[in-house]
Amino acid sequence: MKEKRIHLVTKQPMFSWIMKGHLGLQILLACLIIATIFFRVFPLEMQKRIVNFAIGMKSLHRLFLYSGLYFLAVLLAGILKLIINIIQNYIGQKILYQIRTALYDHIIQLPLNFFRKTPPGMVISSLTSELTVVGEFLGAAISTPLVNILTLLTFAAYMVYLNPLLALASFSIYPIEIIIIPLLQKKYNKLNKVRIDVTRTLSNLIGEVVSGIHEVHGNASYKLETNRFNGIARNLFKIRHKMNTTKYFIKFTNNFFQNMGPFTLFILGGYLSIKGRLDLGALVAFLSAYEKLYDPWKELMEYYQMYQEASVRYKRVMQYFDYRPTFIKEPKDRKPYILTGNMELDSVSFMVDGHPILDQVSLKTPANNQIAIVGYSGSGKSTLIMILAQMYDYHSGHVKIDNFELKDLTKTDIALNIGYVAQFPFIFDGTIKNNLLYACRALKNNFAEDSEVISEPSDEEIINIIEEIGLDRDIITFGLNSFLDPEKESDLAQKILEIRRYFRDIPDLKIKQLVEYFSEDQYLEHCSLATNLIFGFHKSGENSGNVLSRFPEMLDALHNLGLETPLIVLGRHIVSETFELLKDVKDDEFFFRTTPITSEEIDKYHKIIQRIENLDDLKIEQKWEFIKIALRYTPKIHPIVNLPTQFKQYIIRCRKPMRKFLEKNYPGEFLFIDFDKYLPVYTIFRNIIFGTVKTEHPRAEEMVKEAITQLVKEHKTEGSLILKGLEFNVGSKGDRLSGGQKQKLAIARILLKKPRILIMDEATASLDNMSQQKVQKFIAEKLRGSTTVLSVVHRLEMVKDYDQIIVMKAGRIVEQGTFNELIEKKGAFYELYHGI
Amino acid sequence: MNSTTEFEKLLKASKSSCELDQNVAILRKTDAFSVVPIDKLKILASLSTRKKYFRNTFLFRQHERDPYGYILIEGTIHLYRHYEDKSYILQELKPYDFFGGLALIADIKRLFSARTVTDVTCLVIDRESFSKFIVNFPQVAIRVVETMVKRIVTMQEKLLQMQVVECRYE
Repeated sequence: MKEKRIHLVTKQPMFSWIMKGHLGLQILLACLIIATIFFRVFPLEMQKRIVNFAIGMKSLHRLFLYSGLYFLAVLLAGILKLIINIIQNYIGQKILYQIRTALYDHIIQLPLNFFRKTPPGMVISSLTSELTVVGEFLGAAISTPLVNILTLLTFAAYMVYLNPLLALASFSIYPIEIIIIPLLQKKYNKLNKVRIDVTRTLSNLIGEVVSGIHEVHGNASYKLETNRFNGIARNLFKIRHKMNTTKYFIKFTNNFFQNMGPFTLFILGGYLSIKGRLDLGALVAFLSAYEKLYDPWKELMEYYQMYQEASVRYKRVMQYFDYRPTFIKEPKDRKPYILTGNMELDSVSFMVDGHPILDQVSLKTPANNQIAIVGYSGSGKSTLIMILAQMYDYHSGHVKIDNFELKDLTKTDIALNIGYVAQFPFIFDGTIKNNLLYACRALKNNFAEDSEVISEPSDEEIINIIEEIGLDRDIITFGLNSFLDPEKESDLAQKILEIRRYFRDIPDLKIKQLVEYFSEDQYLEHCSLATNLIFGFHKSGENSGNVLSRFPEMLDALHNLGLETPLIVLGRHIVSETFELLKDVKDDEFFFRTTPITSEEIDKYHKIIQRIENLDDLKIEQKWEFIKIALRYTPKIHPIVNLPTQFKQYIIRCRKPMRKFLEKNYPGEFLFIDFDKYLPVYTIFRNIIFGTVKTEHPRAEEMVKEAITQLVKEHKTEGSLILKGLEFNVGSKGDRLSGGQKQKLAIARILLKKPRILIMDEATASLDNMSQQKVQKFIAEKLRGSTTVLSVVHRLEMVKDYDQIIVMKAGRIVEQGTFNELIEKKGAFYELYHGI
Repeated sequence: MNSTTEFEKLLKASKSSCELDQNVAILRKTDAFSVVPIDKLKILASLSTRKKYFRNTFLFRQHERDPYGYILIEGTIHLYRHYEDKSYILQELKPYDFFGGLALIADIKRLFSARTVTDVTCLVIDRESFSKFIVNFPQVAIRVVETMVKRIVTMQEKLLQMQVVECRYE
């Protein structure tokens, strides 16, 4: 039941791309080209007539007529050339796009083995830079030779028409060129092939070092790596130099013979002219024609070189990826099978380099059975289930799923029925939600016209799976750490305010002790003086001190509030205390954690203090510098000074007039802390606690977050926080997630597509005990009766729930049975279980 | 409050209640740091932070790594040594006792656990800060390390001789 093998993109000859879907455009191009030829020769005839008939006969009328026609022809030739170029480029880029997408589609279907040997750098450079020249060449592949050969012939014919003898003499040089140049080009091509290989080696080396950079840093192997790099780079340099030298030789040959032409013309044409056998106009036209001959000739030469370059690159790239995908992508003439999950393995073997990794494995299991696979490392467990997931092809024997041979099922059949969770799952850059929906979206893409087969899971389904897998707490935390725009997400903002009220009434006194709540009549020890004074912040979230300093009326306002002098004095006091304490270590930023000044600022400010004793002598900017330092001061972070209680009380009293002033003078610029309003400059977490976690309690933030998670669950409002958390960006390769989070995400992603057969390769190995049990419970209870499960299990205490346990050793199944049977048997499983 | 001198006076007057100066006083009461001259001690104090712990919580557990040294300011802490199925109280700490200091010098696994009996406040310094201090003030630091090592030796001796008391906590 093998379906007809598809034609491989790598087998397609380069020129086959030219006509694909561009026939109309290519014909239009040919027509335009023929038209331009006329406009190229026409000016030459005009030139001759201007000299002979207009100037020679002193006819102004003719001079204007011929010159006008000359101008018109040149203009039209130019415009046509422009249009031709645009069409050529369009075709070229379109072809490049077609080759790229076809090749990419081919490459990602190649078997895993291929990618074991192929560094990513190779695939990248092949699909990008290497193919660019090919596209450029193919765009012009028809038009360039056509236009230039036609032009060449036309000019040649015109020259023969002017003077056959002279024409023949000037053509005589071309045959010599036709012999020499291909010889040089051959040498160039050979070098170019080597160049491609060396460039690949170089980009592979770079790719390897970049991904293994921690190893390089760890061993300080900079010299070693630079030497490796140098070797290859030097080689590349030599080849490049040789290549270009050859290229310049080709150029020289071309130029030399080209300049030989006028030489012949002057000698022979001059002789004929002196003897009166050639008129002067004809000689001028002849010289022009000869010069014009050069352009098409040059372009033909360049075309020839480009053709060579493009075909070398094209062949190299295609050769490299010329493998067949192991499996067929999608079924033809039928819908994908929906399988029940009966599995039968009969003497399945798998070899690597002639060594059997799986040796005659046989196994039979009815649908919906749950099977655990255990064994020593290297026993072939992973290989076995990777074969069942159609990651590898087996070399002999049969694997039947619902009586279909696994080899003959298409990738689409497999994706629809089998869910495979790898031991180290790959997480894509993007949001958690995008990653969760990856498997479902892949199916949806495969069944674009058949939306009933698969539909994207609803938010409820996602939340449900996340909770079952135990990923909800992680995602709620991501939600808590994110920001939201209360205008765009007003529903969520309202929910947060609701949770804020629950949190305010939280009964746990311990949690209450961990938070300093925002309170209008208390000084906030964990907030800056600026936040304390404004009891709010600038809408941009920017440091309030910096914002205030930009408003011209502000200094007067502070003065009127009676704050100008105390703030300057406080700023100066902080500077002098810091200098006094840290003068011996003032270049090390590390020591400046406890003061609102940085190590870069300290000298500058200390100098001002020493120079200017009297506050009234400070310039306005200098005053602001000290005020800004004072406004940054946060008691619990900067224990270096202590604010007098009276001053704190005074700041609290200033809040109201300050707010009045800001609202009146800068309406809408500032946001004020209000229990009934969402504070967009803070995270959702801080909005819920409506305050600051006290720094003096270790793990306080963790405890408060845990309490909030508990709280939202009690009030059934976790859904909106989870949805927000799903928007969290996981970073490249999921770097911002822990190993456990990645595994849970990978399991949830597969479960969302509800596979009939679930295959897991130590998929819970990085999870803590609690999470592991949760996943196991879900599999044992919720998937029972609906899903066939095959799971390589690392921790043996987890295997009791499985219907069957298979014990593998050296590529064979050595034992098989239920947990109790195998324990009683006191064989291989018993040994493994008791760690003997 | 618009007079410069008036406010300056206020600031100076509140200095005695400044947390930094209080921390300096605490460090001076600890034998390991009492050898440090006052200006350097101030820097060390600025690198330390006050931490609060609820009753019945572990500051650190035996066999775990944790990069802090602690001075008990307020409350009671028990140090435990765990064996396979039993735990023993090694010592009950009093205010101004310095403990866990070994972790400031090297990345070691804890030899014992520390658990609060009451709500507790400690002055805590981390290894990174202490290393910075050692690098910047080696002459002073060497004396601190010396007293710390002596202390550890005495403590070890005490531990070895001590009558161990079996205990339960739950």
